[in-house]
Amino acid sequence: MKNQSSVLLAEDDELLATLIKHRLEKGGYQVILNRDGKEVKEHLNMSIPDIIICDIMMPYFSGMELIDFVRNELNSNVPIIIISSAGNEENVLNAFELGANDFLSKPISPSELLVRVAKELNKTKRAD
Amino acid sequence: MKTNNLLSLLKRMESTLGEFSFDELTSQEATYLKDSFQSFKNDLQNKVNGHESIQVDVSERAESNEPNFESNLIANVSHEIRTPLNGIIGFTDLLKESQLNTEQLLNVNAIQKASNTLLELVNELLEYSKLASGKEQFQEIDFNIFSLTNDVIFLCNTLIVDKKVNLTSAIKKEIPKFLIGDPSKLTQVLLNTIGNAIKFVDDGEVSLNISIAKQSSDNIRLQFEIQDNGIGISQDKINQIFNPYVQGDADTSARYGGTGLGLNIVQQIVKNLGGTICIQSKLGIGTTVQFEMPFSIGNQNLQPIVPKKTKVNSSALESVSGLNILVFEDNELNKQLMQKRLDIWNCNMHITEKPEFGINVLENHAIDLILMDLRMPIMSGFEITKLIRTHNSLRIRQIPIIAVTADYTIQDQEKCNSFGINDYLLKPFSPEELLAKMVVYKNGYNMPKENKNNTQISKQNLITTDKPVDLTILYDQCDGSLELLKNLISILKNNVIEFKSKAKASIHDKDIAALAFSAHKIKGGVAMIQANILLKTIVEIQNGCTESPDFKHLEFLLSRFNIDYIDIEKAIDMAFDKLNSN
Repeated sequence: MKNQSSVLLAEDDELLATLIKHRLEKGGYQVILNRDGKEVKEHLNMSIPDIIICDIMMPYFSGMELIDFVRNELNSNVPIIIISSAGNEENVLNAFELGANDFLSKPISPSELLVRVAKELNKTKRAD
Repeated sequence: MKTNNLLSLLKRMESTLGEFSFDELTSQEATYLKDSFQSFKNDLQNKVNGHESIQVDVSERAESNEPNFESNLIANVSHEIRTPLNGIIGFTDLLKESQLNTEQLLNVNAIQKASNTLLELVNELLEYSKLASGKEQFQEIDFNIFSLTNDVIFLCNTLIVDKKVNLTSAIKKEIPKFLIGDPSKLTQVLLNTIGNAIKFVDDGEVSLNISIAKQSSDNIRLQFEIQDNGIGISQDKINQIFNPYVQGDADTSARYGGTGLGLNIVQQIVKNLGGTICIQSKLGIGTTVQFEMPFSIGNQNLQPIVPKKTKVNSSALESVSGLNILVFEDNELNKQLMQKRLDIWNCNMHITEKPEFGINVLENHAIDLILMDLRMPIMSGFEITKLIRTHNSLRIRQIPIIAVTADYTIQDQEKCNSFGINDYLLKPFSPEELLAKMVVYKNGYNMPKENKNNTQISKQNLITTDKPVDLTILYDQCDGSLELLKNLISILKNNVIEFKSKAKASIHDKDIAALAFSAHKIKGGVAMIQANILLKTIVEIQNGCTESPDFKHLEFLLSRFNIDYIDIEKAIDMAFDKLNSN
């Protein structure tokens, strides 16, 4: 049990979600998987994880709205990593402006994602 | 004013009709009512249209009203049935090419046979409805009556399975070789009548005789006689035999199948072409069908370039054996004819009228030669040629294409050249003519020697480098867990199933946003397994999701995805098995 950091994963592509979840769990993380924006919001209202990984395009509630919700309504600084297939400049800038910590364009490498998750969590630890 | 009176009377009658129960009527009363209404209707029609149609027998008119509604209904329903049926047949063909065990192959064969029978029935219904509604169009083109007869006899011989039927034909030598008329309709009539004769003979003779009934300098009337010594038809049934849906007796349909439309169609065609038909039969002795048809006499020096006669010799046959041929053809009869011929010559044949299906065949099979009908309903042969000649695979661009056409003019020749069609065959063609072309083009005719080698190499490249899927990248991400990979693959497969049905529904509902979303969702998984063929289609679907979408095109793309996926799914399983065994 190297770390028991909790990751909220919001991704409705089941294939990618399964792959990421598996890799994160193997890396010692506790993963909560949500399939759509509504579920994510409900979950966040109950508890805030150590880090959020979130797809931009999700049913009911987009990744962008989610960042806005976390930062402005929950007033939380929890790290948010956005993954998106629409990795154009506008989207990237928009996400960072809203308060995302990192941005990965699809197709993503789960290994790279793992590194970035660890990096974000380290930053938070140092800040604590 | 009088019209108004009449109309108000009619309105009152209609309202009375509403309060009226037909259960109270005896059948005689019902007949009186019907006849009275019919005669009222006829009188009215005569008043409105004048007296021109007064000669027509009332019973015939009553009949001619119903078929119009009936034939429209049949036409619509048949079309609706034919579309999915073509899908079933196409996919059955594909299924047959996959690795199946003996039992599975038998089952697939049964599906194939049943669906082909169904297609024949549907086509027959469609034909009947077209004829009944007067929508059928007839051709006026030059054709060779002798080769047409040969074709028909050849095809009919293939119908003789598991029985001893001796089929003979005699055609008067004095008949001019080239006539002008509708060769495909004549073929159909002959196939139908001879086919019928063969159907009802188990052990015996069927003969076709063609002679001259009348001849002038420009026109000729031919008499065709089809004689058999089969089961025959009883005297009381023979008068009805041309009526739609009527067969010899109740047992006949059970024993021999069919819609009972065949002879009716034949009669309609013959009538429409200005001919006459009659039938004589004795129960247990046999049946003779005789019909006459007028033709114009064509230019006897018609064929511009007489193809070099190649005898069907064994070396020519050997050299085409095993060739892979793709045939674009929409006419059912020509399809069958081509299929039988190429079967006999031991060639592998794919036949379709659908551009997407054909291109898919080209991408997945090492096709040696393409035979292209120039006039097809979905897309013309020229347009399909354009797709082939601009395909991104060099191998596919270089496959020789031979146009198959009923009329070929200098303009056609220029057009063929400009589109990249290599040669042509004039319809109807003899087996020798077809074989000659195949021998000439079997090795990629107009390519210099070194190029030929290139094609060979690129063929191999296609197999080794253009892998349909590559699981290694995904497997790398699985951190060595085959279990996870297996899990991911099954998720992907489910996602594809979901995508297919959702996309279909979105196209049906014209919901472009939903379609774009589905395409977006499946794209990631498809990219992960490196299924580039599918990925390309998905991107095209995404690009097609514009503000003014072309749903027909999207439907085509989706069907291409569906067809491609059949092979991809197999490739996924194979790739996984390979990883699993390492």
